[in-house]
Amino acid sequence: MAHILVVEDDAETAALIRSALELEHHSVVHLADGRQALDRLCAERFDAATLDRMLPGIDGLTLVARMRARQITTPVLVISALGDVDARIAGLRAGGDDYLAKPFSPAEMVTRIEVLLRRSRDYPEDGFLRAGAIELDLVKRKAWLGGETLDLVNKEFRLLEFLVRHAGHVVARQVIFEQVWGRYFEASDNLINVHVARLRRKLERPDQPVLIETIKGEGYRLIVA
Amino acid sequence: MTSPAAPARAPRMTDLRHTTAFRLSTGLTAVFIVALIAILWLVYAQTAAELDQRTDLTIIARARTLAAAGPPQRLAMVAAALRDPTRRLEGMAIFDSGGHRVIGDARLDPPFPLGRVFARLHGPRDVPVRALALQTADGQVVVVSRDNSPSLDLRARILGIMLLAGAGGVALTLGVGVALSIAPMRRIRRLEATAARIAAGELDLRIARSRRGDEFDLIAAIINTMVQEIARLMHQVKGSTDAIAHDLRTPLSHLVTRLERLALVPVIAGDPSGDAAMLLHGAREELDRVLVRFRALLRLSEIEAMHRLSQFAVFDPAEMIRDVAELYEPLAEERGIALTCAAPPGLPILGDDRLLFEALGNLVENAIKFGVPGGRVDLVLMAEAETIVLAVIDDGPGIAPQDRTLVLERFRRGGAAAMTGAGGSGLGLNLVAAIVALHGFALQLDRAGEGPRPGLAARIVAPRATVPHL
Repeated sequence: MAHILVVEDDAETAALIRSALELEHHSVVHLADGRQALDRLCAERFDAATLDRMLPGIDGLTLVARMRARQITTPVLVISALGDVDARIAGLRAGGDDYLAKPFSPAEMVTRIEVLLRRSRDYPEDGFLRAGAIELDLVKRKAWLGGETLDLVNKEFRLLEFLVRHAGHVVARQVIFEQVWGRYFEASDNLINVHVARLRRKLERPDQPVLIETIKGEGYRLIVA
Repeated sequence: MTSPAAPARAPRMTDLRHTTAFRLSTGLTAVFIVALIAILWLVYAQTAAELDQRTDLTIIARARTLAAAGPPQRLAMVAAALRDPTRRLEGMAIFDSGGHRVIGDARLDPPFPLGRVFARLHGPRDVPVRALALQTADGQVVVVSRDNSPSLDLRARILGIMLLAGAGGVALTLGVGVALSIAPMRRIRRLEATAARIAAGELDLRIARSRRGDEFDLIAAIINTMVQEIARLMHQVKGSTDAIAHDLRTPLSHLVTRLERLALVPVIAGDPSGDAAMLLHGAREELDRVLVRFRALLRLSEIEAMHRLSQFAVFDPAEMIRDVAELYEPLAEERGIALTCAAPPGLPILGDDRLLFEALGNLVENAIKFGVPGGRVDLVLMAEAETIVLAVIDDGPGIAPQDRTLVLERFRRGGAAAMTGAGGSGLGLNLVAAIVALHGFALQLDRAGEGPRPGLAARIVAPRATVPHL
């Protein structure tokens, strides 16, 4: 549960962002004006923020730049109707941590926010990640399921690591592709599905329930008992 | 296809021969040579006539003096002249009424015409002479001749000068023609190279102009104005495309939002297999398809609007190709297709690694999508002469030759896609073509083999890059 500021002047989009984040049990503050948002960010601590690029008052990029100038390090997801690479780069240069083009799927937006939230508390002190019966050694790149070693290739390990980091949450396909393969392009859903299916088979045990759940039209969720 | 941005090549003789400067300078010099020869000939003719005339006047005067003298005095005059060493250029002879020589030079023997100057050669050294024979009142014939070599020497000398002038003139013409053509040719080549780069998308480039303000600068100014106008129009088109895309984004976002919120309405959320939920599910699927195409179109315009070289670097594509193979291998396996990869290191190219990954990914995805179970897809990196080829070769149904350019058109898919009803935005090959064009590479679509399943060999041909030394 995180405290998130949503700065968006389009009421309908704002409502979508709010409901999607609240479904994941985050608390949401919505503001439609850039200047007010800057004041609020100075006065209150947020775990993350989403910013529309085109805002009344101050535009989104100026807002990020001013935040960063005032040492406010809150991770920012820039959401914009300008989708091309130039706009994306401009958004990231201004100090945004991630960029999402409209129209977006709520699941993808939530996944990106979750990635930002976890970034700060990313690396476990002992080098081990755990979710349910799954245990990952991030240093030796080894994985176990219920104490039994899993035979995973490089990308499978990273995919599982990503799912474990977001265990219990829906992660969008496009974000998985970006985070695990480090490539930015519109990969077909089917392409990621087969990778997930392969990993799922390796996690299958007769006595265990399905661990990776497919959420149709959205992405995947690692189920933790 | 070579890179359109190739540097200006050096002008060749065959190019020079066709230049305006070359034609004009050779033409002018040819006219000059003809005029020179005509003048020389005129001078020669005038001088030769003058020399002949002087010779003639001398021999006429002498012949008349001889003819007017009495026979004994005439004889004495001829004898004296023949003895005089200062008069070696002259010849004299007297013939009686029967035509027998009384005294004089045997070389002046008949036949000869009477009363007019004639020319003949005096053997054995063939000395040219002019001579006159006159009948005297007492029946004798006197003949007076004079050596005419100086006139002929003059002719020979002038002919020599004319030949020399002609040969020199031809050499001079060619030399001047080449010299005058090289500079304009170089400028044309530079203009050509710049124009090629502009055509390849560098619309902010301009043709360089000199300070001379000559006709090339006029052409450069005209081209620059055109390019500026094209750039302005393209900017305008991109602007309006962006505006349309922007206008569509918001309603599409709203549509997504409303369907999302509709899913949460109790009557639907409470009955996930009811009619309303199924209708909503169908609507969301349709919307997803719209969004896939929408994003692909935007991506395509984005790539088409990119500037060359912006993110380009020299890199070894071997690792990128292995990444593509690794990414698509499970998809191929699922469809029962063997995906192989042969990518030796050490074949560098100049390009954008991310974009080429996207292009190859699209080609591999197409090959897998249209392939048949039991088939194969080969990802190959190889050197061919001075080029590097990145190829995706399959043994699927292929694309008929007449369809190969059509499939590169927006939303057009080959016969196999129509038959199998395979999904997709229909923009995959467009995207590949746009990325290849952005790089200035060539995209070749050929059959991979023979028979009912000829397959498709999609080849991206790039010039081999030189690795920069740091």
